[in-house]
Amino acid sequence: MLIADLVVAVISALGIVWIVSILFDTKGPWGNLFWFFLVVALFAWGSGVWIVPVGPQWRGTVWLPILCMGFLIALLLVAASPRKFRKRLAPQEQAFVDVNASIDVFLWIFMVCVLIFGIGHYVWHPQIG
Amino acid sequence: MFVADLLVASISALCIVWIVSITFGTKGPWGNLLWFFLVVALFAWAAGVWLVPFGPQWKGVSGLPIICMGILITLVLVAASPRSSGKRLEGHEKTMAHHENVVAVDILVWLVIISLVIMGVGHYAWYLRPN
Repeated sequence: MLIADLVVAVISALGIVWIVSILFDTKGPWGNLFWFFLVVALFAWGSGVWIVPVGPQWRGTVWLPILCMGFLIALLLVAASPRKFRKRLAPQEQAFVDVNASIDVFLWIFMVCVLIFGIGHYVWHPQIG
Repeated sequence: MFVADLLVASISALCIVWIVSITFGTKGPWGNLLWFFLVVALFAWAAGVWLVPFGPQWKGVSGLPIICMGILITLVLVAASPRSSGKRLEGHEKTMAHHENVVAVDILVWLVIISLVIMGVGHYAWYLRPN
């Protein structure tokens, strides 16, 4: 069970981080794909296993919650990361840029996904909690 | 139920973000406490209601899962944020940073990793243990 959960989390995180890093041209908040992958995988596993079991199973593991949590945390970390296709600045301007991420479409996508995730609980799974 | 869930998430997010912003000298990845609070509250609510209910209840709401998710997501966001107490890339170093405002991998990232491992292992140790 533990191994199967971890395998699902690691494979999902690998897929999600790979797709997201290519799509959004980012290496995560720490500028390193390994750390990005590690946090997504651990978060997907650590929180995914606590979610009420919904969806299909693989070797006794309900993988959909793990996948959903991995997707959500990856989206959030992308929204909190510097991305290359944002407004570019000349080197001398760069020195005065603060290190905050900007509030852009990625944050809104994350918000909408989280809202759907939360409201979905009452719509699709009202008998729990 | 929906309103009570949201209320628990908002109040816990308010407290968590307030404590964390003072403790770590950060306003979150977006440099704005309102956005920081909004993201933490939404995530704590949305993910918290999907967790298996555990801990004491208030008005039919199991508050502990929501609070746990709030703390966890705040930790992740603080680890991904610039902090006044953390390692920063200053002035000319920023210029050399190839236009990437990366955050240092420091003790908080390890704290996030350890918390996540404890949370995951705890599921098997405490929740799945037969009575």
